[in-house]
Amino acid sequence: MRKLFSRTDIFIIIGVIVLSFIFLIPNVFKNDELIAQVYADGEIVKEFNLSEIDEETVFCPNENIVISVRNGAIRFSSSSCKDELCVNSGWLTAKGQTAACLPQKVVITIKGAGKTDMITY
Amino acid sequence: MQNRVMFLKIAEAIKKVDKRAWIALALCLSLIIGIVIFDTVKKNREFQTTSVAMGTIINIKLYGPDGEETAQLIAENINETERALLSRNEENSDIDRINNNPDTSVSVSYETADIISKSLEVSKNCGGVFDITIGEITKLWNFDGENQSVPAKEKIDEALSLVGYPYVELSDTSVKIKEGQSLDLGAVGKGAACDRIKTLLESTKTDSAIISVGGSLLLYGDREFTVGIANPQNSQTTLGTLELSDAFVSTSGNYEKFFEQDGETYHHILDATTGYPADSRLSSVTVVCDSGLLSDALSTACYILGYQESISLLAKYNAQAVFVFKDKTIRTTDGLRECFTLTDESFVVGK
Amino acid sequence: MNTKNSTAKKVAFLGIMGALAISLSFLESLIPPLPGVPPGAKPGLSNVVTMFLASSSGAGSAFIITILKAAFAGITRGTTAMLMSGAGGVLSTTAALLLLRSKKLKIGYIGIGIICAVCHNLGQLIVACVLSGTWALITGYGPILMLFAVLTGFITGTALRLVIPPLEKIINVYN
Repeated sequence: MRKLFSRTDIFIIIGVIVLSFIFLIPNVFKNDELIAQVYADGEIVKEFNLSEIDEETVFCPNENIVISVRNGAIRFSSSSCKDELCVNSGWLTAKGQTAACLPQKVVITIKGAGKTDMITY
Repeated sequence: MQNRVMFLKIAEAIKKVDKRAWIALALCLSLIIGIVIFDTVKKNREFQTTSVAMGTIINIKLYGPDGEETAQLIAENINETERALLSRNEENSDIDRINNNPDTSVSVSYETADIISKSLEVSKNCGGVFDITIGEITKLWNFDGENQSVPAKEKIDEALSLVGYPYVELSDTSVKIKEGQSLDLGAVGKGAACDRIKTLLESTKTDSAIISVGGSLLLYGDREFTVGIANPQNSQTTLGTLELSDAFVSTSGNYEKFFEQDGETYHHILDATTGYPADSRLSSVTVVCDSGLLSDALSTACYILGYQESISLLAKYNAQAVFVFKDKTIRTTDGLRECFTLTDESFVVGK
Repeated sequence: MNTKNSTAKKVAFLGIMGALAISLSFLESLIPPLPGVPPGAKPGLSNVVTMFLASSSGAGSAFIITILKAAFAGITRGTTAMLMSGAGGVLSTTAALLLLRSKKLKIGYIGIGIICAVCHNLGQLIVACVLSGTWALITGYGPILMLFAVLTGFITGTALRLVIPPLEKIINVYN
């Protein structure tokens, strides 16, 4: 008759726990990646891993806005609104940076604030 | 007959299952371990989102269960603050009704009356440099619009004659302003929104949270957060950090909204006693206290007053502050000295 | 024993097992979502049935019940649930067959339960990743699902140990 619990089982349990830690490893390295998120109306519409982008590309969350993405950076490159405050924000390159086009309700932000949780301005 | 034999055999087999007590024990133990794991994970579960409301960026970071639902509630709460209470542009908001019915007692919500009463008190305590009756002057400067220019001096003087918090009559929940006046809660709106969010969070299962309504922060719960203070020269970067928990933080700076004309820079923090942008040695003031509205109002008042005169005002409200001067020196009040860390070496912390 | 009779027996037996698996699935769906555990992760009590079949009946009947379970999930909770249940079920049943049939490996019931639970969760996770297109789910949910599998494996393994002797008696009596 097979045992309920054998010595092999202990190794299995240890193995599975080790496996779960192996799954965690990419999370640790991930902190160095720059993940940019594009929000429209409070919903994430697109995510870019800025570290993995080689060529400059554009993304349009709606017909009025063009967002440019290149290795390690993201920006609003054009917008239909008059003041173009979002375009003037320039390239975002570091964690926690945010730029927004308020009339269009589009926000781009680089995920993970590094050391700071939030900025008061 | 066959059934009976079967049942007997089954019963016999069940009896053979040994170590049942051991099994039960193992089960109980693993369940307890499991529950402990779930509990820790649950506490640290984070939900983060960014949106646009009240004409500004809202950043939400929640720790605890039901993050997504709570973020939804917060977004609705902010829109409600804007729509029903504070907006000057929204028709039938409390402020809109007060502004459109001068010389008449207008009945408003308890919350609006509370916001107005606290704002008036700050005005009184700072000698009127901060004043919510500044509405007509902010309309002239139009910092939220496009193609700004310096308004004519006569227009400012004319509007200035009607700016004055003592003209506002407030009893319980009815508010009356003078003909020609108009209220502008722009300097307290974000802070007031933070206050309302705190009340909302208290009714949810959220363990802790940090929420930014256009740069005015609410730090909720026991968790310690690192708050960056924007560098006035490049507000995407920080000049220093504050380690804080359970507090409201608000900053007023000359870099937020401004325009240039004839080589002069005009920023959006207007001195209600002159009608012009405050002539200050400061670039920004960050105020930390236990009320969002007060941190917002005090940061504006302190920016206009300057370092020396701010100290007694802050003491009155048991508030703390970080002052950033245009010459790149920084001064903090005693209560923040320990939790402030300089991160940009081009600034100097003064004594 | 004639063949016809034996087929009828097998159908009846599978019917009972299917009903058992489905009612266990249903019972599980009544458990409120545990805090901290990704939605859809369940103790996998119905895996006990497929594991028992893999041990005492045969690969065919084990897979039939696995597919029946997936179909039940599809009918009651939609296509996504069906694909997740199917992928998780096939993986864990395969693992159970290999482990239970192996004479060399001295694995206890708890060990088998844990490995099956890991396979079940992995299968579900992979389907979730493919359907949502976000492979980050693996690193996000993977670790917690693995730890969860240790716990559920404990439960299903122990349950298996408890039910195998009496259920095998039933089979023997009928045969």
